[in-house]
Order: sequence, then C-alpha cells, then structure tokens
Amino acid sequence: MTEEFRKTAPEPLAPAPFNIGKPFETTLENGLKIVVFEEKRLPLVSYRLAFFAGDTSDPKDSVGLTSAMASMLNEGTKNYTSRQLAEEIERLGASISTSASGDFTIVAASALSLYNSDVLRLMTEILFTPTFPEEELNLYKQNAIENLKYQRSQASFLANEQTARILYGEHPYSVISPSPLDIEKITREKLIQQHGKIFIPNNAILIVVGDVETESFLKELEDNFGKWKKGNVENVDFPALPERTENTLTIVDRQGSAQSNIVISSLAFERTNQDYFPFIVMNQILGAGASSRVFMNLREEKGYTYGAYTRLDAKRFAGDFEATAEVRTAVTGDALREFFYELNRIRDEKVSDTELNDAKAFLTGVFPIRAETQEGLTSLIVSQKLYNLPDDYLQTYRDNINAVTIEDVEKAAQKYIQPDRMAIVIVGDGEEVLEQAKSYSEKVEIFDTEGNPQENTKYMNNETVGTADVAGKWSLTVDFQGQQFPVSLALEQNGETAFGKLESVLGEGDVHDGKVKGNKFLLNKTGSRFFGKLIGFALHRVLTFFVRSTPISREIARIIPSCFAVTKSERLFAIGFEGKPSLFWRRNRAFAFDRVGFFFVKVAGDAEFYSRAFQRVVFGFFNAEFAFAVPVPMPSRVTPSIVMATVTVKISPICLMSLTVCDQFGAFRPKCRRPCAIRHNQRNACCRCGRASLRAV
Amino acid sequence: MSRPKSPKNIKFTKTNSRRFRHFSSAGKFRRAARRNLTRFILAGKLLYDGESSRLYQKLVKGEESVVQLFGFTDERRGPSSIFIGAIPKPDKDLSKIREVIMHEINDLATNGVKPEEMQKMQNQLLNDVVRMRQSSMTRAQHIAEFTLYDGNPELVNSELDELLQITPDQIKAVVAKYLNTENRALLDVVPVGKG
Repeated sequence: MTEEFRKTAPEPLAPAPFNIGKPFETTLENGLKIVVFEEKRLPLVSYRLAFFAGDTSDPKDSVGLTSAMASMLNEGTKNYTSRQLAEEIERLGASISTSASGDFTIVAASALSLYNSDVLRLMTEILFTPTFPEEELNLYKQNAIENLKYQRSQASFLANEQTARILYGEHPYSVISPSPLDIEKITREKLIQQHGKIFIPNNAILIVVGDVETESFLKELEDNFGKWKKGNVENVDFPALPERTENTLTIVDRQGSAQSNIVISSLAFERTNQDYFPFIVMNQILGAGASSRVFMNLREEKGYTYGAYTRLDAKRFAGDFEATAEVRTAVTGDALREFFYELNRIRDEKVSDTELNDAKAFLTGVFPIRAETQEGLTSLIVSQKLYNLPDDYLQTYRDNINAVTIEDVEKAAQKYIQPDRMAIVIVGDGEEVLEQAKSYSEKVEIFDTEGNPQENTKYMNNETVGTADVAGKWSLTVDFQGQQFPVSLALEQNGETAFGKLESVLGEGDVHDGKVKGNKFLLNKTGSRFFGKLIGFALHRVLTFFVRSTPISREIARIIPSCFAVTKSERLFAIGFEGKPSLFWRRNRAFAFDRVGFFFVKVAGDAEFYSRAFQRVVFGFFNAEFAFAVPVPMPSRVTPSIVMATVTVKISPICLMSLTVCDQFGAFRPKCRRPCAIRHNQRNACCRCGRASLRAV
Repeated sequence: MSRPKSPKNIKFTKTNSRRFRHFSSAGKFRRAARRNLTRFILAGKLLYDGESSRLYQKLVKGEESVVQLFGFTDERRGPSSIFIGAIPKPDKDLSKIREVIMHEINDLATNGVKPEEMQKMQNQLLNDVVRMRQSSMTRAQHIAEFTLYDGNPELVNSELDELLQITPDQIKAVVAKYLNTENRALLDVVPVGKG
C-alpha cells in the first residue's frame, strides 16, 4: 500500500541564498587593471591575465597569428627551454596555459597557494621573455596543419565554418580557423611583432582569485608587473555586419554521410545588450537544455537525433543565435520542419507559466553551482570584467533572471528569432540534403569539405545517369532507435519500379512500390508480417547508390526506417525504446521502460496507444482488464538483445477515436496534449505541419 | 565468477572512412587490488599526463611522430585497464611509435622513477585532490565510488596520504609486473585502403 504522502511530489524548496562579495580592484601606474578576490576555502590560487585583443586583431594577411603567438609563449623563454618550462610548471603541480579567442588573449595559471610566488615568476617569464624558437615554431606549424586536417574531417567544424562566414561577412568573426597556408606564412618575426602589439599593460586586466592576502599580494604584483611599459592601444574598426533579408541554404557535401549536421542561425547581439536576460530565458525554454522544446520535439517525440539544441553566442562586438542537431540523413527535411515549427511557435505563442518558471528556476539554480569551484568563480569574474558588465552583475544575476516576464520572452523571440531570415547550413550527403531541404530557400550554395564552391546542378540532375539496376538480393543493416538488426530484400525490377520480398526480425513482408530514379532507390512503403498481421513502415529516401555501378549485393549500413505506421486495420505496434527492458502494467496503463531494443506489443482490440518520449518511455492508456508483466533478462549491459512481448488487452470502445494518422507524415500521431495542438485538431489539421489533414482511425 | 583472460598481444586492425590513424594500447589489472591501482595511476601520470610526461616529450616533442598523445586508467570493479593512445602524423611508422612506448614502459620497469619525477607527481597529486574536492558533486561521487568499489567511504579521507606514501620502487614493481609484458591489446585505426 502506497503511503499517502508519496502520491504528491514535494514542492521545491526556496532558492538558497547566494552571497558573493565584491573583489578588490585597483590599477597600476602602467594601466594594468588588477582584480583580487580573496577566497580562502582551499589552499589554491587562480590567475587570469587577459588582454582585450584576440584573433580579431590578426593582420588581414596573417589569420591565426595571435593564436599562434599565444600558443608559442610557453615554448621557450630567455631562461627556459620548452621542456624545462613544462617540467618546472608541472613540478609545482601547477598549470599555465595561454590561448587566444576571437575577442581576448588570456594567460591562465593555477596552483597551490604554497607556490604562489613561483607561479607568478613563471608567468612573468612567459609573458615578458618569450623567444619563439625556430625549431619549436616549425613543430607548432606541423602540428597545427595536421590538426587543421583533423578539424576538417569533423562535420561540426565544417558547419561552424560556413555559418560564421555567412553571418559575419567581412567582419573578423567570420573566420573561425586559419588555413594551412596561413599557418605556413607565420614567422618568428611576425610572432614577436604581434606579441609587442597585444601584450601591453594598459589593454589588460589581471584577475586573481584564491587564497591570498590582498595587501601583501599587491606588493608582489607591483614587483612583477609594475615595470611593464605602456603601449599604444589600437582602435578597432570592424566592417558592418551583413543584413539578412531571406533564408539561405548552404550545404557542405560529404557524400555518403549517414548523418546531417544542421545549423540554423541568425545574428543576435553583443554580450552587453540589455536583452540578454530575456533572451537567455527564452532560449532556455526553446532549446538550451534536455527538457527544452526542440529537444523534446526532435529527440524525445520524433527520435530524429540524439540531441537538438539552441544557443546564444554573445561576443564582445556582436553575437549569433543557433539551432543545431545532428540527424539521420533520411530525416533531414523532417528535422528542418520541426525546427522551424518551434522557431515560429516561440514567436507566435506566449510561453506558459510553467515553462517560464522552470526556465528561471534552472538558470537561477545552476548559477551558484557555477561558482562552487574556484575555476568556476574565476570564470564568472573574468566574464564580468572582460565584457565590461556592471559591478553588481554577479550579485544581481538571479534577480535579473527572476524579473523576466512572459511578455519579455515573447518580445525577445519576436525581435531576434526571424524564421524567414535564417542561415541554414547542413553538412551531409549533398544530394540527399538538397532534395530534402531545397524548399526552405531559393538561395542555395554547395561546397565540398575543403570549402570549394560546387555546381548546384551536379546535385540536382540524376536523369542523365540512367536507371540503376537494383534487382537482386540485398543485405541491409537497419538502424532504428540506436539498435541495429538485419533485413534482407529480394528485389525484382521492371524499369523504374521495384518489387519483391522483405525478411527481418519483424517477420516477412512484400515490397510493392519501390521506385528507382537515376541512382536513387526509394522504398516508401513496405510491410512486414508479424503473427499474421502487417506492420507497415517506410524506408524513405534512404537507399541511395553513390557509385553508379555499385553491385546490388553490397551491404549498406545504417538504413533507417523513418517511422512505424499504424492504421486502423493493423493492431500491431512495433516500438523501440532504450533502457532496462521491462514491461509492466499498473492499473489501466502499460509501461515499458528503458534502454534496450525492441518490444513488439500486440494489442487486440481498439486502443489509444501513444508514444511520448519515443525512445525512452512508451505508455498507453487502456481500459484494460488484464495485466501482464514481462521481465526481460539482459545478456549484457552493452549488447542489447531484441526482445518480444505479447500483451493482450480488452479495450473499451471509447478510445477508438483517439488514434490518428497524419497523411503528410505517414507517421503515427497520437492525440496531442499541447493546447495548440488541440486547436489544430479541432480544425482537423496536423499540429506539426499545420497543413495535412488528420483522420481518426 | 572467473576472471576473463587478457589477450596476449593481440593486434586488431580496423578500417574506417576517416583520414586519420589512431593507435591504442591497453593493459589490464584488477580494480579490486586497490594498492596496485593507485600505483598504476601514478605510473600513468609519469607516462602520459602533461607536457613534461615521458611519452609526450618523446613522441610529440622528441620524435615529432605524434600529433596527440593521451592515456587513462579505466577503473572497474573487476579487471581495470590502462590505455595509451596516439594520433600519429601521416606516414609515420606505427610500429616505431609502439616501440617508443614500450621502451619507456620498459625503462620505468627497469630503472624506476627519478626523484624529480616523484616530486612533480606529489605536487600534482596534492593539487588534483584539493581541486577535485571543491564541488559537492565530485565529493559525493568520490565517496560513492569508495563505498561501491572498496566498501569503505572513509577512504576519501586517507586517499591522498595513501597516494603520497607510494614509493618509486612500488611504482617500478607494478609497472614491471603488469605493463612490461606481452599481455596487452593493440588497436590500430587506419584509413580505408591502408588496413
């Protein structure tokens, strides 16, 4: 018997108070700003010496110079070789790193406070007497070029490269990485020159957090940094940002790619913008986390991707907003549709009180955790100072979040989310992506992975190729919800039509409407018989030959059925979900959890059976008179097995009208539980696409 | 339950569609043997942790044959393992890189740890342990792991002392017994067409 108090979840506690003091601040005569924050919980100290100049300060013909200069700082000094420096720093159990970002160049150090003076000494050695040895520079260049090649093999890098180029135009933010040629051009002389230009005290701030006594420590800082001579601070004058007037589609072709890396972006604002707080609350609701809208939609409901997110990158001089996901190639178009549905929805409909409160609770709740470690606290102070945020920024952060209203969120979304002016960048199979995404923009560019523009027609015209010969036996691996199982197809072909038999663990089925067009094979509908019943599912735009003469017997991995469809006369459900496999009934609900392969649930009678969080939890509402539990043994934590369970239930007719199928998607659509969807349903339109009609089954 | 046998210097070669080669070597030891584990962690620090580590200086700096070097101990309740991996530069001979790694392991097993290496390691341990205890989440995680794996949550209070008391000879002995053998698995990930 369940105890009464367990029936209701407890209310969350009131937020714990978060009190953070203000640091001591001063400026040395040479202009170096000093910020000291005493934090004596542990015998540690952290330093950040930050210069208000980064990669955006690269000379036009020397992209990557500032980053190279920063990386080379600890590769040799007047008194130490690269190895000696590494050994000396690590002997103290300390770390000193140097790096440049777009806006800043930072020398970071941390150590036990016991070695405070030693670390300061080594920092100044690196800062003031780097020698940039030729042999170390050569090694840096070799490794940097190899890393660039590695970077270029990563879809996320290719997507970010194109996104930055499109959004920022001539602005230095448009370049996220140098080319091998840029690296080759770096010389020792250029490094020395850039070091002299950027490393000046009157364009820098030294932030120290940790176990120090401010008064005595200031003397030590004065000794180490006081003789540093002032320099000229260069004025920055960047080109204007491009104005966006329409959606654009940019494809980076990776032929045969199983996934599409999607980035939908637009310009946003710089870090100091007054809309920052409403925007991050809006973004939290839209896509910043695993309970946000795009994640719940694209991953939990649709199963298109492992994760879908949105983010704001607010830099010093400008910023951008991105919606991103890596999805299976076959659902690239579907994923775009869902992204745009959510981008429109956040603008057009007010968020709910619950969503707003949850987002605020998360942002205010996680803030003190970010300051829990010394590194975290240091990072917060560094951000505050580098972006020139108000003096009470950290103290008022949670108040600012809590002050955001539903109307503020709506205004921020309407101001910055412009679904008709987005830059859509997709890295994936060019031909597949173009076919699925071309309706989103009339302006299409295609590049190869080296960034070279390609002719669009190369990806659009298959008619000249002739019809591929697909007749024969196919051995496929089907990847569904992260699980793989074999499917075999025996096909015959008559011109552009293919037909034949299918065999799989789902059972056998007929293929009767396969289409062969050029080098593509589209199998839109097929079915598999299971216990005498037909389970319909679709292999949609997924069987593609990339080589014209590919023999038909070749195995193609990761063929992904886009959905399992259910119609009125077919009472079988094939449901995939992850997790510890167990299926049980409680009262009138069937629950199936968690982390393994497939359950095939046979339902006799009429039912509303829907999948929320498609991969994880599947539960249906039945007026069941029969309860059935199927504990499924797991052979291994890492090798899931395919399991089956048969559940027979008796259902009352009242549920009969609830199961709907969207004609447009061909996908199983449950009764939608969102208020907007109910409205759509009432006017008999799909709550996803807004166009297709819904029909009750 | 019987303990699974370790592979005897088995080499796996796998192809993929990327352009980059990757080399991994793994050896196995028992997590339950706690004393050995802590000594292994220190041996790992010496070999691959940081820019002054032996293998970084040999392969990235000295031989210039490797773009990235990494290593870690994978601690398990049953047999645990130690991994060393590298991304070589194009056209570098993987067998030579393996030789360098094995040479360093052999050197550690034969000649042991230098005093300056011990001092560096002890400072790093102190720093690491203090930093890891800053957040309540990592503190909870450590206590949970000590409870689960070792049956003694109090180890969180004695872990550092235990690590600091490890001697160079103990590290040398554990490397000689578990790492300086043929009892390991090798994995080369090579571009298609070069397998």
